[in-house]
Amino acid sequence: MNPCDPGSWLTVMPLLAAAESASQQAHDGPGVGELFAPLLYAVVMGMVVTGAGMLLCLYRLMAGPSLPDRVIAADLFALHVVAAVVLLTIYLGDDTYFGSVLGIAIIGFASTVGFAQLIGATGDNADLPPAGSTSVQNLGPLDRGDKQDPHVVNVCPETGRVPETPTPQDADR
Amino acid sequence: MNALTDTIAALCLVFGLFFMFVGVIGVVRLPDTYLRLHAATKSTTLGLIGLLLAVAFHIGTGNVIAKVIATLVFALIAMPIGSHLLAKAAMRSGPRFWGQTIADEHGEDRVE
Repeated sequence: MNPCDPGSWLTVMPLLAAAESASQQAHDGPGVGELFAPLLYAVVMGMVVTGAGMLLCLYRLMAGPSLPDRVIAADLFALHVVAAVVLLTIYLGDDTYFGSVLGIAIIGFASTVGFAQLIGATGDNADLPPAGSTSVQNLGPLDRGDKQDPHVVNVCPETGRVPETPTPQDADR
Repeated sequence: MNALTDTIAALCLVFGLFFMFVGVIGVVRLPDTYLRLHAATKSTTLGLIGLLLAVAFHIGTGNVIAKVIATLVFALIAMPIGSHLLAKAAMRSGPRFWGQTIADEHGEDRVE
């Protein structure tokens, strides 16, 4: 293993080595060692960037203050998996694994739509108001006319007053 | 393939990875759910275009180009729709705006 060659760093990973041997058995196209050098550096840098991006997505997935933040992080994580498959395809020079790109993209979109339906139907009150929020417009749900629980009264956190009942224009929305 | 298409593929790859990383930094750093959604959608679409073009230039067979075109068409349709649905659901239910948001055209209709 040559430490100056970034391609040889990757071959120590057993998963990549197994994928390499599988693709070498399936096809006898251009091998792994024949990758154009700037492209090889770009792929290795891209694996580092994609791994760092996955970790940052996981951070937002854990720390996101509300459920939509976590859904955004999960969607972005799926796209990072797409990026990892793309990098593996370029590294192997072989389109064995490339068919999963469209599948992962479709699963990410379907999960985003499903969570959007869930959030829109049930609401998510787990977040706290941010430090700078002062305006009255930050009260409560958008459609308080028809979907509000009648036992819950919205109280403005700064003034402590209860807002007026909704006008018919609000109920139309 | 040859050195020309591999050079183009490397440039596309660096372009795509840059925008993917900008997107994930935006998701981590921005202060608001809606701003995070903006970062996660726009720049990631550009990043995905760069990555898929890199594969199309590097491999270059008809199979891969067909999958690249299908994935690009799907992503260009699905990612705005998904983010729009998520933003609408988020505005209906939970997260509040950042305190320094200057325009809220949905909320102007519901200020008492």
